[in-house]
Amino acid sequence: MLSTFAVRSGVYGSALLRGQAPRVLAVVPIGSRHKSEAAKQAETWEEANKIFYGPERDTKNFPHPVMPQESGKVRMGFVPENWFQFFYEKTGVTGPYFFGVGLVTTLLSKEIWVVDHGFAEVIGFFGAIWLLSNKVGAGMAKWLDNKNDLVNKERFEQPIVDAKASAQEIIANNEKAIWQEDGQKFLWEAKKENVALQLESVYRQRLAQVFKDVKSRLDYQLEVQNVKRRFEQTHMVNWIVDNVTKSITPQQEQESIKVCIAQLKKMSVPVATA
Amino acid sequence: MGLGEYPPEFNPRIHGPYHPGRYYGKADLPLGQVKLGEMGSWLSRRSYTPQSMVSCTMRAYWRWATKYMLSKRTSIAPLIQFAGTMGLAYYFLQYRTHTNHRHAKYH
Repeated sequence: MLSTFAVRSGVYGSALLRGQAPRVLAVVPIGSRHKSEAAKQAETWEEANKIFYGPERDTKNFPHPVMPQESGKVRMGFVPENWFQFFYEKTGVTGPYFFGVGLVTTLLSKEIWVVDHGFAEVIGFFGAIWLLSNKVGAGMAKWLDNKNDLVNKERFEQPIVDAKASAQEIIANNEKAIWQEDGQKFLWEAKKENVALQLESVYRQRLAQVFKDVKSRLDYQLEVQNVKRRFEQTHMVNWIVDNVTKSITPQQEQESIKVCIAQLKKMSVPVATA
Repeated sequence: MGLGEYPPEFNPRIHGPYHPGRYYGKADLPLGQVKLGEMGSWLSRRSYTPQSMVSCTMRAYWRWATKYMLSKRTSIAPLIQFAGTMGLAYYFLQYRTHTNHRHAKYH
C-alpha cells in the first residue's frame, strides 16, 4: 500500500512539476512495510520511555505526577488543611479559627457582607449540603466508589489482563509453531526416505519389466524356430508320404492286398483251430 | 509560547510528563515564606504580563483540580469550594445591589 502511495505521490508530484523538474520516485525501505501494530506500539513505548525516563530526568524536583486516591485534606468540609498549617506555625492551633471568626465578624460589622434577602440562601445552601453529606453522603460515596471501581476494572484493568492473556496465547502458539518446525526436519527425512523407497520400487519394477520383455522376445524367437522346424518336419513327412503313395502302382497295391489277405488267412486258421 | 503550546522552559527529558499545574521556570520563594520586609523585592521579581497572568491562573486551577477534583475518591470539598467561590464572585460582581441594602449608615 505504501509503495502504491509512494508511486502515486511520485506521479502527482511529477504532474504538478511537469516540464520544470526531473521526475522523482520516492523509495520506501522494505522493512517499514511489514511492521506489525504491536511492534510499532513497542517502538513508541520505548521512544517515550527514553524521553521521560532518560538520564537527564530530574525526579527529585519534578516527581512523576500521580493521581491522588483521596481529595486533599480539608477542615469544616471545604477549608484546605494547608491553610491551617500556614497559620499553625505563626499563631498556634486556635489562630486560624480566630482569624476566620474575626474576618466574618469584621465583614458583617462593616457591612461588606450585607445581611440582605440573599443571606438566607447562604444558610440554606450550606445547611442543605451539611444535612445531605451527613445523611446520604456515606451511602452515596460507597455507591459512587463501587461504580468507579467497576468502571476502572472494566475499562482499565480487565483490558490489560485480556491483552496479556491474548499475548501469552500468541506466544504459546508461536512457540508451538517453532516446535512443530523442528519436527519438519524429521518429516523431511522421512519423506526423503519414502521417496527413495518409491524410486527403488520403481527401479525394481522396471528391471522386472525389462526381464519380462526380453524373456517374451526370446520366447517368441524360440517359438518361431520351433514352429518352423515342426512345419518343415511335417511338410517333409507329408512330401515323402505323398511321393511314396504316388509311386505305388495299382498292380503293386493289389499284390500287396493279396499278400495281406493271404497272411490274414494264414493267421486266422490257427486261431480258429485253437 | 503560543496558545496550546508548552511553556518554553518545559523539557520532557528533564521534567517528564507535562503537568499543567506545575511551574517549569526558575523557582522563587513561595508567597507563604516571604517576609513582609522582602515583599517589595519579591513582587518586583514577578511578571505582570497578561500571558503570565493567564498561565498563573490556569496553573492554579489545575493544581486545585488535580488535588481536590480529579482524585480517585473525590469528596464533597471541591463542590463546596466551587459553589462558595462562585457565590463570592457573584456577590462582588453585584456589590452595589447588596450595599444598597445596608442597615447602618456609619460603621
